[in-house]
This record gives sequence, C-alpha cells and structure tokens, in this order.
Amino acid sequence: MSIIKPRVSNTRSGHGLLLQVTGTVGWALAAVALITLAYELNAYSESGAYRVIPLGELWFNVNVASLNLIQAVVQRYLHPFLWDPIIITVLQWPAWSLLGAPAAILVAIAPDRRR
Amino acid sequence: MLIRRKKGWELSEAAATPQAYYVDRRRLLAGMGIGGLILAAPAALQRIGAVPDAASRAALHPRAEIDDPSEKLYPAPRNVRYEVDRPITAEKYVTTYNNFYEFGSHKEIHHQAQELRVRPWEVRIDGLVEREMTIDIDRLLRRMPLEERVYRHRCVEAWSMTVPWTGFPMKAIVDFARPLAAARYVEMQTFFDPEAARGQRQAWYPWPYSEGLTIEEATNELAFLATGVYGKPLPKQNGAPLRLAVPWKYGFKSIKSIVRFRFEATRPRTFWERIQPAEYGFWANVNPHVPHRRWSQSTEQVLGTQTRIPTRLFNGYGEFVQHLYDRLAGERLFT
Repeated sequence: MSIIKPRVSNTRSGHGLLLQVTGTVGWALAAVALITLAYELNAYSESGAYRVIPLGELWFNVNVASLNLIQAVVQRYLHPFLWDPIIITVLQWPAWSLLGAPAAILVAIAPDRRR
Repeated sequence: MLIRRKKGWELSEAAATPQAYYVDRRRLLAGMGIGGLILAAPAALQRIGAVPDAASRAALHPRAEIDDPSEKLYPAPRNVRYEVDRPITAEKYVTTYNNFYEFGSHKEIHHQAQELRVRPWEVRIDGLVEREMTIDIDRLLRRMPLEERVYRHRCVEAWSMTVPWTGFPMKAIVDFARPLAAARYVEMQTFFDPEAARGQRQAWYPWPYSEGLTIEEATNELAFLATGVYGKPLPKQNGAPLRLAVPWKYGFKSIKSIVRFRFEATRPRTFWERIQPAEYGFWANVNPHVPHRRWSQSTEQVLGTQTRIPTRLFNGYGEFVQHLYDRLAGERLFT
C-alpha cells in the first residue's frame, strides 16, 4: 500500500509566501551587511586605520528620529537598564555582523527557487 | 494713590497651585496620563513612583554638599525683580526629575549623574575674544556677582517648574570675555566624559552637547548662568557646576555643566539641530500656538501639581525678550 502525499504548492500557500518574504528580507539584510563591510574596508584602504561601524551608528545615519524615540520609550516606560547597558552593548557591535548573522539564517531557511 | 501694573510674567492667584497637589507626586504622574504605562512596568513604578525621603535626598548629591569649595557662597541675596506669582516647586521634584541626555533619556538620571566629577572644573573662553583663556570655576565664581532669581522653567515635553536659581547674569561673563565686534553668537559646550556619563558611550551622537545664543540673547537681562539652586551649590543632575537658564526658551536650550564659551561670527549648529532640527531648532522660544510633533504646547503640567495651566508666549517673559525677535521674520523662532 502506498501512501500518496498531497501535493502542496509552497508558492500558493501562506506558508510559502512567508518563506519567500523571509528570503527577500534575508538577502536585503545581507546586502546592507556587505555594503557596510565594504565601506569599512574601503575606509581602511584609504586611511590605514580600521574602524568598525557599529549598528548604532548605522541606525543613527539611516533614521535618527526612530533611534531617539525608541531609546526614550525603552528608558522611560520599560526600564533604563534595558537600554543601558543591554541594548547599547548590542548597538556597539559591528553592523555587518549583526545584520549578516540573521541574513544568513533567513536565506538558509528560504526556499531555493532553482529547485 | 498706588497704581500697580501687572507684569507680563505674573499669573493670577487662581493659577497658583493648591498645596495639596503641590506635594503629591503620585497624583502628578496619574494626571500626566502615564500611570497605566507605569503600572504595566512594576520596576518602573518602583523607581519613578518613589518619593525620596530626607535621607535619600541627602545622598543624592553628597559631593556637592561636602566637596564643593563654593558652598560658602550660598545663599545669595534674591533679586526681587524676577519673582514670579507661582509657588516655588519643591526641591525634591527639581532634583529628581531631570533631563540630562549624557546620562540617559529617562527622568531618573540623578542616580547616574553622581558619577560626574565637578572639581577640578575649568571653563574655556575662546573664539572671537580679545584674549582666549581657561579659568578655574572657583576663580570665575569669585569674580561674578552672585544673586538668586526665581524663574519659571518650561520643558518642550510640556511640563514646567518654578526654580530659585543662584548664579549671575550671562552678560557678566560676556563682558568678562571681551568679545570682538565680529562676534555675533555664543556657543556653549558641556563636558565629554564617557566614563562618567554613560550616554556618551553612544559614539554616534555628536557629543559634546552644545547650545547657542545670539549675542543679543546672551546679554539680555534674563539670560542667567546658574551655579546653585535652593540656596546651595547645584546638584550634579541639575548641571553642576555651571549651567544656563534662559526661561523664555524650552528647557533643552539651557545647557548643563558648561566647560566652554566660544564666540563666533556665524550661527553654531547645536547638538539637537544636528540630530532632529525639525523638532529642536536653534531658537526654541516658548509658544503655546506652535505644537511640537509629540507634545501640544498649549498647556503645561507644573511639577508637583495635578492640574494643567495655560502656557504663555515666551513663557510669560515677553516684555523682556519680545524685541529680540522683531526683525527675525522668516526664522523658525518657536521650534
């Protein structure tokens, strides 16, 4: 007796759509991480001094208003300790690594369109 | 016959704060509409809702009370020209509800601010002056005419307080600096010490904090450099040992813990202008009819009270400062 598995099209189901979005977000994060890393390396080649771009600096340059607002919300209405030192510590890590790690995970779990 | 003309900064008796509200901080918080948020965060409730007793208040600024060599200069005589018709806010609110961005974005920074060392403290005067100099704060204080002034203080976050500052007119330090004729602005900077001020570890912000005034504003009789409050040296969380008090502007203009006065020919870009110029501009004069993106400016919550009162143009100091802006049409004077 053979068991016939129902054929489910990932591309038509909500689950499949979610996986595709996951892949898109993953590639977008990877692109930003690579751009950040390339910027760091370019600056290093020009100045001879390597300077890491922390995630906080990237956030500041992209949208300082949201950074400022979220700090105020976290410190005033949740707990000061949550922002300083916990979130500040994370924001001081290299942007390329913090973006690159989730990017790799998201791309890995996304469906491969070539199959 | 005595004819008494009401000053522009005076308020009616009806606007005075009832004493019962004046001393009840928990009601204030409820009135501010953030009680629900606080209840949702027990830890925040414990920290924000606690009213410090005498012992903990004394512990808030031990260095200011013990190590400050300027302590004997206080209290200074009060200048009654600047009295306000509003109760002075209780000291416990003024010294425990503070904005000091170097130490964080919350209101409980009086704990962290104790890390700041305020002696020795030097003040640099440079730029377009006859002779650039660096002067020790205590030498500077001995040269300045200390007095007490009661000013209203209006924060852009729509709360206010009434504070008995001790200090000296900013005009005195401008005269002391002897700026050249080309100097049109005074830029002020606060300290940079990420070891003490943890907020400055966020290196992406344009530290040190800086603010600026025109020479006309800086030499206006209201512009005041505070070195003390409530007849004592300034606590660190209030901007020790030297801070600005410009009561007709929103509070973020009154820079704390100043280390530098720089006289310039062109308008300096302030700390907040570099971050969010649309919300925190150079002029930042109080105007109830120009709302901030997040706060209506039509009314204000007086610390220590439960009721809101109407905000007044230039925080009620129009008769002193209105003329400074008569020829500045086109500028964003109230942002």
